[in-house]
Amino acid sequence: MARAVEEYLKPEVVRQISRLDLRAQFIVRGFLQGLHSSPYQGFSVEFSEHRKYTLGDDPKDIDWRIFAKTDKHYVKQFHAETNITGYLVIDVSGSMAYTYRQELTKLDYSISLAAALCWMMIHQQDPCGLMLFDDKVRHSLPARSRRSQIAQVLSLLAKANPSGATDIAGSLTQVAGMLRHRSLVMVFSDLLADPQPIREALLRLRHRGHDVILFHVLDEAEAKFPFAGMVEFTEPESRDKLVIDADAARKGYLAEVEAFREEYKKTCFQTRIDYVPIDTSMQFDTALVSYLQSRKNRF
Amino acid sequence: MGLSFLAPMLLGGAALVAVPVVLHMMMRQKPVKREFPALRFLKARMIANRRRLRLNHLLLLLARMAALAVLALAMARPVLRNAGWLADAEGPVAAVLVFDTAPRMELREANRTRLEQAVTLARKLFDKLPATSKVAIIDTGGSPVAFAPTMAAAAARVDRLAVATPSTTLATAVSEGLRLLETSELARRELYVFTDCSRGALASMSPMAEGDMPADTSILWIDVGATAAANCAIDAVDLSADRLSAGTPLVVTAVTSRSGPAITRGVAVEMLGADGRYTRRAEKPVAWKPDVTGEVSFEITGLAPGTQQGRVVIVGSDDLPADDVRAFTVDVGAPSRVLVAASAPADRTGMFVVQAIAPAVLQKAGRGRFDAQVVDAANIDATAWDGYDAMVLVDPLPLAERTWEQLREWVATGRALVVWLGPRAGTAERFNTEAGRQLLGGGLVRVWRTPGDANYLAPTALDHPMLAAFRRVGDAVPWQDFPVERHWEFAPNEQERSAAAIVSYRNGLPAILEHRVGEGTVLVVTTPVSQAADDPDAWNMLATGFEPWPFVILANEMLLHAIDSADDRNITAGETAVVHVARGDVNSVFVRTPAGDEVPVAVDPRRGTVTVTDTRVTGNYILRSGGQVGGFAKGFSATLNPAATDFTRLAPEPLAAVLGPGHRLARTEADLVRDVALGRVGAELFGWLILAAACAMAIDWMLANRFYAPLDDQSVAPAGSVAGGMDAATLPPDEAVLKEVPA
Repeated sequence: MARAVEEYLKPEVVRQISRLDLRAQFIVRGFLQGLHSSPYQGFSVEFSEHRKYTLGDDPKDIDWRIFAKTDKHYVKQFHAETNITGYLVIDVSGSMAYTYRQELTKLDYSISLAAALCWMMIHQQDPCGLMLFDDKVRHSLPARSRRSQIAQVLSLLAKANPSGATDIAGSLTQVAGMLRHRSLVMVFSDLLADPQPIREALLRLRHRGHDVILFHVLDEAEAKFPFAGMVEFTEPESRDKLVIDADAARKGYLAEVEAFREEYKKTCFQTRIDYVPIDTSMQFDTALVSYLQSRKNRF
Repeated sequence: MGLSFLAPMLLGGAALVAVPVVLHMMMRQKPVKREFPALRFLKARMIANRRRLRLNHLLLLLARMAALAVLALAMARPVLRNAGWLADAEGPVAAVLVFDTAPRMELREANRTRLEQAVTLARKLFDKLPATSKVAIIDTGGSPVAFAPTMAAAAARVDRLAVATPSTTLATAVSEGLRLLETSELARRELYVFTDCSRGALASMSPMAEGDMPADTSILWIDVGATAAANCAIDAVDLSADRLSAGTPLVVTAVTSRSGPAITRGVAVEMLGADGRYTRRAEKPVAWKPDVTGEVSFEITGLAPGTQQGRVVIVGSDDLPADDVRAFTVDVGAPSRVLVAASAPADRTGMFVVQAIAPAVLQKAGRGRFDAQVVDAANIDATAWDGYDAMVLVDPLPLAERTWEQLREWVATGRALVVWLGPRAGTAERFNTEAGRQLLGGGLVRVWRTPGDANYLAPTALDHPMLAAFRRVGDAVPWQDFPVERHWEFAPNEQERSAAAIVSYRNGLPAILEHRVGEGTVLVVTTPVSQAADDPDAWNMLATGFEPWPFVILANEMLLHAIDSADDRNITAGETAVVHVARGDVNSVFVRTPAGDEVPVAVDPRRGTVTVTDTRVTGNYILRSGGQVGGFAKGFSATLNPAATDFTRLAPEPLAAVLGPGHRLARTEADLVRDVALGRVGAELFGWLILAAACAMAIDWMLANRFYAPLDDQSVAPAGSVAGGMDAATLPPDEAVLKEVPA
């Protein structure tokens, strides 16, 4: 029996696909397949540019690049839309290596998502670049729209080594300085740092004309706090310790997380940044829909 | 009330309260270690959480410690007992058994008297007493208050208990029992009171307060009262007079009451003959109604001179025989000789007194109480007084000192003197002499005038024997119709034995005073009855008003009281009876008791009286000396106090008030056994403590569930799960993945 469409998007199913390129393909195909029967049918308009040329279409809308590759006429109705330069900016600090009881760590989840987005962008002929940072930008890959870009991006993602402390604000400032053209910056981070500098760095990105999608990735345990009894917590980056009664602390913790997310949501809304709060137990389509929504809103 | 433990060693289990503390400390030292990047959110709430955590842990700790402590306490089997908590449960006790042996305890119900019921329960109680206990038996009949030498002796004493005229009240017996217990060196002291819980037993008892009961003494009341007894009772016998003139009829009035359903039964009067047998002289059928007091009267005529004794009896039998018979004694004899000394003209001055005490009609019929002889007061010294029983001075002139002294000597031999003071007394200075004050018990002060009808005799209380005749009429005596406009103010002497006012005027000053002189009595009336109705200077209208029957009764009763106050004829059983012999040739008399015993009693040569102290047996006592002819023969009757036969049960509320707070009352044998065990072993608190422990555990459970409620979505990660979403083969060898191992 064929698997349900939604099942392809589950992290635990995706986890079974070992190769990152296949995984990205798997995510996107599952996502696209789901769209045909999903309430987000409207987004298919953005992908209908690859429909075959028929009589009555404006010949200038023919995508000659597709024609050159496939020897068939395809019409790309919104040709200008596809020229989005996307940068995947991923936090690879030590805290991103965390998971409590999920199959994927925050970084795994972010990488899978980023790979899918990269695959999707490249297949839309959109240039896609990659930047990895912890306390500064460690690795960067310029945006390209060639198909080989996918392999380079995925290769770099697979080698990502989460360690050390993080400086999200500094890294984002550095990213802003590195981007010369107006781009779509997709940030993947748990944002576990002082929020004020991060907000300022995000603003700086926006002021430079970049569109920003902020994927706030938390582990399922960080989002739901399923611990019980006396627990000694250790912060993986700073090694700070705290002994606490998890049951008693749960309510307050969840309130703090909610307030934290709300604060980011508010700031992002004011600055027209797409804020996507996700945790590692969620399906990938949440992130992908957010991306497409953002892409649609841009034009 | 004390607390003790049947298994005190198990109290050591209370040390288990340390277990939760230790566990608490151990658990505090071993928290589960976890990596957690989002620590910053926890730190924000750290302080509040830590406080709540401490409070939660403290509450849980306390609940668990309380549960363990209460369990340990329960295992030690604590008991609450009323006394003797220092003593061993089976150790000897000092026990005092107080029995009410009043005649009402003869009340029969279920073919058993109340005393028999008490004795039966007491035997059961003996079975519960430890073998080496010290036991005392006290009854209201006046038994010695002491511990019996052995338990067997005490048990035998219980078996010999019999109903007797009470010589002491139940309250006194209980007090004596408590005092006796205080003398015991035994640690555990128990008092058992066997009573019928009746009004007669407890109504006069002052309520027992918490402080009245010694802390180390337990009191158990055993109720042996009847609940459905049927009884007819003669509560009292009222005689028209207990000293009659020959030929005067005796009116005997019996006061009756009934418990139980209505019934018709006869009441009879029987007189005691010379042969020692009673002869029925009159009988009337009486309709007895439940809880209704009635009266039945008999007129007995033809009583021979001398002491006559009789009894009122209820025909047939009922549940309580003690109140079916009431004895009485009257003296029938020649009228008392009274010398009326009046100022000249003596016949006129003394007329009212003579007509009141010895009316001509009765004199002619030979039925007068008094034989009055009138003399001029001026010739009083020349008159021989020895043949008279009493003297009445009507409006006397100031007497000589010597006359007063002679009168005093005469009265002191047992005679009576009644003085009606009037205007002829002149002035107080002239009338008052030292000897006169000694005789009268006081002296004149001044004449009080109250014009109009404002002042009159106003007896406030009728409890004096002299006023007994007015009791039936009570407030209906029209004293206000006989105003007193003038009277002497009489000031009693300022010494211990002085005149005492019996009757006062409405203005509060004394009208009639009594003074005991030796064996005799002096009565002083501070207003005269010697003036005619048409005399404008008349001091009062006592004898001249319309139908002056109050004066007639008063004059008679005063003389009767003054003459006859020496002899006891009808007494309450248990009281001391004093009878005048007044014969120099009799040195001792034999007292024949109602039980048939004859006891010789010596005559007091100085007073000429016989004193009988043992009058506990009810009935007629006969005092006899010499033969039938020329011998001495008198008697008296002893009747029961109404309380001795009042078996009406006290209502629960008054009963509880009398027995005091926290009293224990056993009604049945099962109650007795249970209460004895309760008093000795105490009430085990095991059940309550187990309940308390269960409550503590429930609180612990609720707190634990509230503080550590499991999450619905909480699941445990599979052991050995590998964090990270990538295949290990595809991951770089240096890729570090944090891994959490759930507990």
